[in-house]
Amino acid sequence: MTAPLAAQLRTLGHLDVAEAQLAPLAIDGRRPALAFSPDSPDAVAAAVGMAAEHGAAVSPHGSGTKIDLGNPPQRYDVALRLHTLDRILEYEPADLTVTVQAGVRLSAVQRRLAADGQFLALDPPHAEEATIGGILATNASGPSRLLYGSARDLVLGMRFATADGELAKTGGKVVKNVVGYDLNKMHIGALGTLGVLVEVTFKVAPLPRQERTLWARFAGLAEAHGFSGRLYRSQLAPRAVELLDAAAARQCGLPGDAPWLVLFHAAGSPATVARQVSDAAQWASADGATDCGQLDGEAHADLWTAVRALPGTSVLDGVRLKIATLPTEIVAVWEVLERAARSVNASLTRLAHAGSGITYGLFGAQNGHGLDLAAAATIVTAAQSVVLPSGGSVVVEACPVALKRHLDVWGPTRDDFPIMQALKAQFDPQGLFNPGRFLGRL
Amino acid sequence: MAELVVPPLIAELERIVGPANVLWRDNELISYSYDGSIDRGRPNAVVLPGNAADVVAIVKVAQRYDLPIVARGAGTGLSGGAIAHQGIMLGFSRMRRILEVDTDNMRATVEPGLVNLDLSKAIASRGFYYAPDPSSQAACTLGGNVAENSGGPHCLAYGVTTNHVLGLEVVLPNGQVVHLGGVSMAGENAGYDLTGAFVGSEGTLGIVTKITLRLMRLPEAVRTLLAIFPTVDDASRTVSAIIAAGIIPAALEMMDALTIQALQRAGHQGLPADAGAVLLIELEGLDEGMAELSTVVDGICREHHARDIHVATTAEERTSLWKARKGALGALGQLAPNYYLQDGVVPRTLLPEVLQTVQAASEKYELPIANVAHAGDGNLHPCIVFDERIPGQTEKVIAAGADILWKCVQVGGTLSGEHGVGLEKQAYMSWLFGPADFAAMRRLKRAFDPDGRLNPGKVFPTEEQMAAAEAWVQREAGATDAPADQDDLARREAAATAALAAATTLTAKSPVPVTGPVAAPYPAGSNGAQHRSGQVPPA
Repeated sequence: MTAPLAAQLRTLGHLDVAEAQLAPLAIDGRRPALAFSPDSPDAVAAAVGMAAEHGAAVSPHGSGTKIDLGNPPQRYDVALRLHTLDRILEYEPADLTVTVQAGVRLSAVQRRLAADGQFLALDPPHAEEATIGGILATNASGPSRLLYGSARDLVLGMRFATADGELAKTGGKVVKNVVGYDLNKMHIGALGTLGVLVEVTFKVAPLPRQERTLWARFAGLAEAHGFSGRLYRSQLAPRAVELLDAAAARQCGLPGDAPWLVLFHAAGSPATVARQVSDAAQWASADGATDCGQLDGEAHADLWTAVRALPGTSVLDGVRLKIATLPTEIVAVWEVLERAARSVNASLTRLAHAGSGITYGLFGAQNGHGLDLAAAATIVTAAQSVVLPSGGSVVVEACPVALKRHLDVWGPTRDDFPIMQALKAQFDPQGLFNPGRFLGRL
Repeated sequence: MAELVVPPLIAELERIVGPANVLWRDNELISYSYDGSIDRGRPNAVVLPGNAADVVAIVKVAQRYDLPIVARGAGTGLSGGAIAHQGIMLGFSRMRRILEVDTDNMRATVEPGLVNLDLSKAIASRGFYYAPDPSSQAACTLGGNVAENSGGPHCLAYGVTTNHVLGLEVVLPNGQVVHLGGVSMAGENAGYDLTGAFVGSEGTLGIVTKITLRLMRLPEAVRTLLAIFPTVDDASRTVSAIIAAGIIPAALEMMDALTIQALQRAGHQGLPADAGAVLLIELEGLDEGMAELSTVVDGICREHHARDIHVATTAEERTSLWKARKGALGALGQLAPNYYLQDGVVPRTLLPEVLQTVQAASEKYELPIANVAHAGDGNLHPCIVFDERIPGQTEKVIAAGADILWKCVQVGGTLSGEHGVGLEKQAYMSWLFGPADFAAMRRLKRAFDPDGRLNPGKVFPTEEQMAAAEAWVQREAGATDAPADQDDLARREAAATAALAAATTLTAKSPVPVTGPVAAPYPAGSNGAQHRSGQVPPA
């Protein structure tokens, strides 16, 4: 299969077959046979069509920052490297929309938009390297999703390569559109299992005129969480409300005596920012904060760079969980995570996008040798036991590869799984897009 | 007179929900034979389920009899989505409870028959509301909103229905009950975001029996401005300038002179009779930001020739302005027996250019066109006013509509921002989508509804419809390529128009059937994009 496919792909664009090039593209220890770098959307579609003809399994590849995400691939023949599709195709600042190719880095898009006083309201980890395609495939998000929503709220349209080697589009380039099914949502977070994204149109936002942080420390988790709730439910319209444990606070450069830290990201006009911060400071002291302060300028920017990056921190042979619950359940979840960490003698770092109900839990070994399989399994089981019964989700974003053989990193399937299977069968009947890596080994 | 024999299908349905909740006699079906559309159709029966178990049982009956199923909310839809020509129609008037309000987590779970505004009313005292606000929000249901991905004026700042739906309980056409989405943020459930794929699917993928929605905090301060302009052009340039200045108001709406005149005739006061256009601009946020923001907006309006700017100082004044805006469609219905309301969207910077095309269409086809627009979103609602009893008018209306939609598509826009495709815009789908795009949509359809039982005949165009839309475009091409033979051009135009008319279902008209004498048509150019103040169409 490989040699004839390689010969065909070479007619389309750049092909790598050497070990040195293939090794960094390995997923859970498995290397592809070929790495193809198409130079146009048409070449992506043609390459997918050729791969399908040969029954070759394809994994789209951006910067590789989320390559650990997902179950181990059942097959992996071709790495489809999209980093050369890195153009910003259309940008009309007055329309507040931008169309880009999937391989462009978010940071490059942000730099272009910033020149016109705008930004794309996505702030996932790996801000510098992550590509648009990778961010959408993994539905990566960050603190500002509280105000701006996540990728599903910002994508207006896309083009994608289908399993039969064609380019299809969905949505459009205007901010409101109900013509045809919204296949954007289907692709976002699908880990490239239904098609290969090649082009995306986003709505963008004006950069706020001013930003400031109010931080407050608390002796008790319940108090800290209560304060965070008061903020996100308020009329202050915070851009972000984050809850950090002591380890996370240290990592973000805000260590202190009290163990729990709440961050409030204010943004807007100078008058509204002043009001936001002043209200928040009053509420913090009323809610029992031991300590409270403000940051602006570079200190503010550095803090949020660190906060955004934290959930992407490598845990080596540790475990990194992304947990989605109701915001009010965060305390219960955090307590269970702490007990689990203690029971297996693991280090623990917790950060929550508190208003969005998203918790990141990072577990590492105290001895620096990584967690053993049993310890890792204990942690995942504990998290699932508190989160799943009330309808939340636990995604094991990173863990020892050995553990992935024993569990589905996406968690158990639910009553909607038969539709997901049908969807996969419709869009990828041969099972060639990232086979086995998605929920239920789709 | 002997009672009609109850057919076996009806008897089975009556066993599920009771005889009172199955409507099948001719006189019972009348009020379920239409939505906001010209088309009419009658199902075999209308069934009013009381819960999801009823829906499951009804779906299984439909399966056994191999009948299509059409779900219907309040029938306010504007694209024919709730028209059924056969089969079983599900009416949700009995399923309108608020099941849970959880303000701590800013969400509520409701049944699909709940009226949009009733949710906001129920939670207002706690300081929360549900943001998407279609003009029909006092009547339309949240289930219908989910099906159509409804919008509304305040969607400019807060997004449309899909941005506010966290999870759904859905009965599939095979009778399975599934739960899409999760308890937390949308898109954070394990696996594909089926909630997102479902919202806006126009009743073709499943039947919603429960909806979890995101709630928002009522803003601390609201300031509503009415800016009065000499021309539509000035008003639409102002819209682009406000957005370009990095200001996204909560709402940014436009109404033109014909609309204002219609509103006045319908008894809405407070809008200037001699304005070329007005913008209704709503700013929301904290008290501290209001003064500065409204000064900037005021300045932009005046730079673009705003003659006057009123700020609503009382809640009553604000309510009255919004009543006018949301009543615009009803008022336009009083101008003539029929209207055809469009829903195109264009890049916001091209609003002035596209509104000129609307005006050109009005003049070319000698049809008055009123303009209402969610201008901040680039979402136009040109409303072509006509009388279908005048021979040839309907064809002209369709041709004028096609001119406008074609322009929207040509400038990179779309056919519908919030009304849906339904029966109305199927023909034009092929202007936007090619075979590979339709194939992808069909794959999603088959994953949910492999037998095509749900709302058949909607959304996807037929071969004939696509051919007619294509011929319309070719006619355009012919007009530019070979302008010499006028007779030939006229013949081509007539043929293409007739084909397009045959392929198009007009869907928005005044709700009350008119039986009086045929009204004289308005003179051309008495309306539309460029009209000046003071031109009142004859009564």
